[in-house]
Amino acid sequence: MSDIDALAEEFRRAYAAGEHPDAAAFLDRADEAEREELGRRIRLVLADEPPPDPAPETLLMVQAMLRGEPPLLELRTAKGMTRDQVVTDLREELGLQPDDEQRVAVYYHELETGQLPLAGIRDRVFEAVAKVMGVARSSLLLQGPEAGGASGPLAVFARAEPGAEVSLHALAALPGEPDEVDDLFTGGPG
Amino acid sequence: MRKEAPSPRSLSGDEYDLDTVVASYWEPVLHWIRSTGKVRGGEADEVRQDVFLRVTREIRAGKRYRLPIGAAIFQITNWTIRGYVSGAAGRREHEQPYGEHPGDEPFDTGAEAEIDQVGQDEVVEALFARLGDREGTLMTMHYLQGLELSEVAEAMGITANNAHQIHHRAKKRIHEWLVEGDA
Repeated sequence: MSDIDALAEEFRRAYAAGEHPDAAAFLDRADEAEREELGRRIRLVLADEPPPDPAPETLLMVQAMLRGEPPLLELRTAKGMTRDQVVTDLREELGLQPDDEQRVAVYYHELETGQLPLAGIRDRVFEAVAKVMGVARSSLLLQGPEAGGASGPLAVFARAEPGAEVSLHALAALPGEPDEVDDLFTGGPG
Repeated sequence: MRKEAPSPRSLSGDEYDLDTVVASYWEPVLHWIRSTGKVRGGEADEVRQDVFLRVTREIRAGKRYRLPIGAAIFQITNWTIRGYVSGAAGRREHEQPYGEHPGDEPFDTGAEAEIDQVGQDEVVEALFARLGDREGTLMTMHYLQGLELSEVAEAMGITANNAHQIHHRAKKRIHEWLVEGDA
């Protein structure tokens, strides 16, 4: 069995067992010249195998999303975690300092209410949020603005209703000079 | 957890249980996207979100796919990746002058008359105008005209993802001006 056969088979077994294998990590393990073929084999697995039963947390987040409610908030509430607790855990998981906690809190709020473009969020943040919330990274359901976050009632940059003014206080509340925290939440992809 | 996950195998015929369909394929679609190596990090999550926005909209509209639901979702995923990669190429070249981005089309300046009618806040209008044509137009249409970003994107002839990137960039620029007292 070639390396690529072995990798594809390993992916199949892990996927069928519901172990959340990371396709990108599998590609990284192959020689560069064989990655495209391995990707094709992985997609064959995905097309052939019935999808594993979704985790209860995934269903919970999907149901919230389909109701138009923030999935991450639904998950946190279901797990009985406070936002402060999650923010502290997230800040520690990201290796940030206590002084950064307030800024992490702002970004977490934007994350939870679907205001951050997903493409800008670093992989480390996805992984850290998944770990803190006790779910697999691949089953984590974060919503970006496309799904309605930008029109959420808590948007920092409050949208004007017809005839209403746009507040300069809201403009002033936007993030400051980019630093490590900004980079983690807006500096992606990757 | 409060809720139990039904088996995806309960799917049958043309009857789609939307919760189950989306939950069952939520993870496989991310694997699919990442297996292509064409998008990185959160871009894959953004593509996945777009896939399921479309699937949800279509199923709610009563669409019945000719393919088995899994195959239909993966096909939609491929289309979405292609569209996204094309749009991302434009975003990654954002330093180029407007009009040279793949996928970008000139904005219909006929909308300017409508913008004038709804301008309520001269300071904000001035800030938006200072952003330049593309960012300023997007911000004006979104914040002063009240259009959804998806509607603005359609009016401007750009992708929704492009609109979100422009939106984010414009907010950062305005903030810099305000913090520097240069507004």
